[in-house]
Amino acid sequence: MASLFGLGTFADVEVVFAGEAERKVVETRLPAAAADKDKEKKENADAKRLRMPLYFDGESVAGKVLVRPKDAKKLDHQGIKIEFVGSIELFNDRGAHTEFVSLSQELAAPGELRSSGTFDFEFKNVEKQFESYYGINVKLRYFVRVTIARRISDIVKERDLWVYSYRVPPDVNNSIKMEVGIEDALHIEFEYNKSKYHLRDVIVGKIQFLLVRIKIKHMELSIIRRETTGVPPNQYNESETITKFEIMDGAPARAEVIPIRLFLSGFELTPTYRDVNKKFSTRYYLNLVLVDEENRRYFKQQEITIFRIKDDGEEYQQIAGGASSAGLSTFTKQ
Amino acid sequence: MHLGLSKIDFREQTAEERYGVPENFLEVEVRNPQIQGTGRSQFVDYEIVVKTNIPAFKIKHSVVRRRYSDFEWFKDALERESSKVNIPPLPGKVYTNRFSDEVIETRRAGLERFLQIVAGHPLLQTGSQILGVFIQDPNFNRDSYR
Repeated sequence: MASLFGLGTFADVEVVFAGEAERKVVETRLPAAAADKDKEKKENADAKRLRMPLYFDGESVAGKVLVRPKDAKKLDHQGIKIEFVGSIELFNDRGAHTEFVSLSQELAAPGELRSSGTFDFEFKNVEKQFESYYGINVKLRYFVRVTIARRISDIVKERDLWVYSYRVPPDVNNSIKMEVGIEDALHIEFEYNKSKYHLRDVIVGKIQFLLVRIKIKHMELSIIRRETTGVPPNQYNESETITKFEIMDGAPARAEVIPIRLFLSGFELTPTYRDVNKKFSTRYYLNLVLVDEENRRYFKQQEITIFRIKDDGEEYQQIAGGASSAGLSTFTKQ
Repeated sequence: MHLGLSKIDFREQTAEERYGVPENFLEVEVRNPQIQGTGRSQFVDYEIVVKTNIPAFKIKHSVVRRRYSDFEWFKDALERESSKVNIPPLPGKVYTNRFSDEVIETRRAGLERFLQIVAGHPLLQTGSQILGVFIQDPNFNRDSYR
C-alpha cells in the first residue's frame, strides 16, 4: 500500500522542517485502548512514544525534502509533490478518513533524479483549526506527505507534526456543589472548587457526609474520559478510566468532611473536545464512588471541562511521580 | 486563604457524631440450629438475631426462628418484589445427611451470609415489604402472603 513509510526499494525520502532544532517537541503515546484498533499499528511498531514538532494555528509549515536514490541508480519519476494534510481517522466504521485540510505543492516536474535532490517547500500561514488528538477510537493528525509518482507504484513518505491550541482562562468558573444520595440511607454533599480546569490545575474539593446508614468501606475519585465518535444513529461511546484515587479509607460518621486535592498534571489528559468537525467529542468526568462492606458501589458522575492554557515554560516543570510545581503555584496565587 | 470552596455551611461535627454509636449499626446472626418435630416430619430451624439502630427496621433487637424452606420462599418473594436488586444465592439443597452436624453448620453459615447481604442492602431496607417481617416478626406465617 502507498502508506509504507519510505521503505520502498528505490529511494530514501526524508522531511526536515525549518527551524526544527529550536522548535518545541511534543511527546505522545498511543492510548493503550487504541493500540489494538489502529490499523497502522504494525507500521508504527515502535511508536509507543512518538516525538513530533509542535505547531500552532496560522503558522507556516516549511522545510526541505531530501530524496536519495538507492543503489546509485537514477530514479525515474512522474513528478514529486508535497501535501499538507489534516485528517480525522475513525478506527471503527470501516476506518473512515476525513481530510479537513489539504494543501498541495509541486516539488519537481516529471523527470529523473541522478543523485540526491533537495527540494524546499513552504505552506504559508496554514490553518490548523483543531488540536492533534490520539484517542481511543479516533485520531486527528496533521502531517506532510511527499509523493514521488512512478509508473507502477508511488513512493510515499509521511511526517507528522503536532498541533496545540491555547485558550484564555474563563471569566466565570463556578464551583460544582451538590447534595446527592439514597433516600434514608446515604446523603452526601460534595463540592469541587471549579467546573473548568486547565491541564495542570488542581481539583480542590470536599465531601461532607450528612447521613450514613450504610457501612462504607472506602471512597474513591476517578477521572473518566468518554469519547464519542460518529453521528446518530451510528454514534459510539467508549470510556476509559484515566486514574482512580482513594480519598477515604474506612467508615465515615455524620457531619464528617473528607478533603480532596487532585493534581491533574500527573495524568494523560487532553482538553475537552466538543463535536470536532462534527466527528467526535472527548469529555471528562469526575466519578465519586463509595464502596460498602458488601462491595456495593454508590457513585456520582460529574462532567468537568478541561482546557489548555499557554505554557510559561519553567513554571510548569514536571516532577517525577506526578506532583507538579504548577499545582502549587496555582494554589498560592490566590 | 481562599480556596474557592464555601465556608458558610461547613458544619463542625459534634462529639456525639464523632464518637457516638454510628447510625449504621446492624448485626445479623443466624445461629442455634435445632431439630424440630419427630419421625418423618423432622426438620431443622435456625435462630435469626437482629440488633440494629437503623430506623428502617421496626425492632431494635429481635429473635425469631425460621427453617430453610422459609428462606427459599423469602428469596423468591424478594426476587419478585424488585427487578433492580441482585439477590444473592442461598446455600444449596441437600438430599442426604440433612441432619449431620457438618451439613447443618454449612447451611447455617450460608444462610447467615445471605441475610447479611440482604439485610444490609439500602434499597431493600426501605423498599421491601417483606424483609423486616421475615427477619423480625415472630408472628410471620408465609401462608398469609401470596
